[in-house]
Amino acid sequence: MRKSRWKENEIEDMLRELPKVKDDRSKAEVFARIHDKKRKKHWLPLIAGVASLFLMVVLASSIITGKEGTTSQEDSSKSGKLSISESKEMSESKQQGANINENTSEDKQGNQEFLSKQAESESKDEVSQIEPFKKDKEKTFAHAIYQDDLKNESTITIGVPDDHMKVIVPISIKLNHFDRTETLNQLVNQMSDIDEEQYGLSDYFPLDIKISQGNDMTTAHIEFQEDSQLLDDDALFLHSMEETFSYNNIERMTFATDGKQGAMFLHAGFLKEQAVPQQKNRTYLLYQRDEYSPRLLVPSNRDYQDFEEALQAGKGEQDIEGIAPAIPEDMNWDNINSEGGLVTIQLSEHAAIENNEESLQALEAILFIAKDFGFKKVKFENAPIEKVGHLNLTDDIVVPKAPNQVN
Amino acid sequence: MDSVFHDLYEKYHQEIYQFIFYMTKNRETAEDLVQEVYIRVMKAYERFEGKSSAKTWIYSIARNVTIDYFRKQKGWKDKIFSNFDWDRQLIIDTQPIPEEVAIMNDDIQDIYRCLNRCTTNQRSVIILRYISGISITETAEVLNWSESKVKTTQHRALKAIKKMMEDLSGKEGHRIEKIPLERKRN
Repeated sequence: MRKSRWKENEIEDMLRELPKVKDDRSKAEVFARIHDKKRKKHWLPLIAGVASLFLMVVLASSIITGKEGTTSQEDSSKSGKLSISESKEMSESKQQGANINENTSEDKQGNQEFLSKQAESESKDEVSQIEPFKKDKEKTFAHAIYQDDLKNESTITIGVPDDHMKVIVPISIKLNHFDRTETLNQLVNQMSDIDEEQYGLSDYFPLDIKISQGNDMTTAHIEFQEDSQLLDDDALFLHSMEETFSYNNIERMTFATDGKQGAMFLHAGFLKEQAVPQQKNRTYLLYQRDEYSPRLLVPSNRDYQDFEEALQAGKGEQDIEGIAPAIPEDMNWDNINSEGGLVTIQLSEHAAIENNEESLQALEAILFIAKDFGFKKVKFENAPIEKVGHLNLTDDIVVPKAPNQVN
Repeated sequence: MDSVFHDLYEKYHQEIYQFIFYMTKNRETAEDLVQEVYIRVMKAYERFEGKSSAKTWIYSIARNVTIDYFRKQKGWKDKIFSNFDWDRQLIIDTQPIPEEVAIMNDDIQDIYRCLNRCTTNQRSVIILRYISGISITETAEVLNWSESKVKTTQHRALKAIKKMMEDLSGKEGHRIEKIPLERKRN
């Protein structure tokens, strides 16, 4: 009878018990095979060429003269199974073709290699057919969500580590109803459902924790198990939680471990609670894992002294894979003034702003930088055009609620 | 070149072979791929900058060779079996169990089977960490990931295997017992 419950350390022990598996060949044998392999590679294009010519002749003659060829084709369209046996025959005839044309001293390995090369070229063909389609299908740009867009809806934002786990990317999901008391439940549900990899991010959620409401509406209570790995990898975890909660009206986290107050983090030490800063004076950059993933806005890991410095940093190259400037080099400004919650950016004479996705994402990056410095509204003066996407540059623009809407 | 081969063989052959074997679960494939690793290593040996250790560098080549092999396999299998609604996992599951594993107890055999069901990334981390026995830092170097990503992937893999082991005990009566035993070649 096998056990129905296992502990993680028991699984680890069993993995360590998996036996050593050895290559039984001698050193001389391996060396000889490598030599053979290198030598045969030179012959492969020639063999492949001759074999395909031979195949064409065989197939053409059977289609023209033989009745069997026709039957086989008809059958294969009716039944998938026959198409396999046909493939096998094809492979065999390929193999025969190779045998006939190869030097008789060539061993069986040559055939295998030949076939695998054929398979390789077939698979390459297939990839080149699929990829353009995939590229067209993918959405490459994620908009911000503005309070005005939300009528009876609400949003949930989750801070997800990027593919290399070096930055935290906020991802927002629009929900079709609004109930603030439900925020944490919704958050937990979305953490279970989110498919991070489709956005070019790491598979991080769900986490081994319980999240519930703390002493008040703006406190989230997080409960760990004592052996939770998140306690060891605390920098990433706390960073992700801060980013997540800052968009979801949570100002404080409290911690407990196995029912006892507080949590012992490996690097941060023992913490009973931690504030969630709402403004961190950061810049915003672009993250995109590859051309098939969407371009997402991401806050920087460091903070800046003032708003203008942060804006300028939005143009800077970063030494992190997948991270690029969010603001184009030629989008310039002459002056920046602030008064209360409003910041005014006086654009230069020839500031490159067009009505396209790049400009829209750059302007949204500026709006989020302003938000990170506590501004409520941004005014762009001297803009060369009046509208970029839905943004009206002739009015004060209210900073968005959350970045990177993915649904 | 010969001296490079001899050096590599003495230091790393068995562990690289073992890594590829556990990734592919097929002796012949592992033999072929380990040869490919030598060819690639010998080609690039002069360019090896020593940024990482030779060991993690060779492991990373072995992993790339294995991933390339999976991609090729997927390509032509998808093409031939495209009309069939077969679970590709089934094909992999029928790989023979090596003698070394078959003589172990049932739980270890189950663990061996569960490795198949992890994602390629999870399997890489589990093999590197628990079978090859290399550190988190070295694993991160091999995979060119951050250490955080290694830890998270390792944790997820352990959770996935734990769940599969528990599922297996639930389905004990329905398990496919007749998985062929590999005959060791002389």
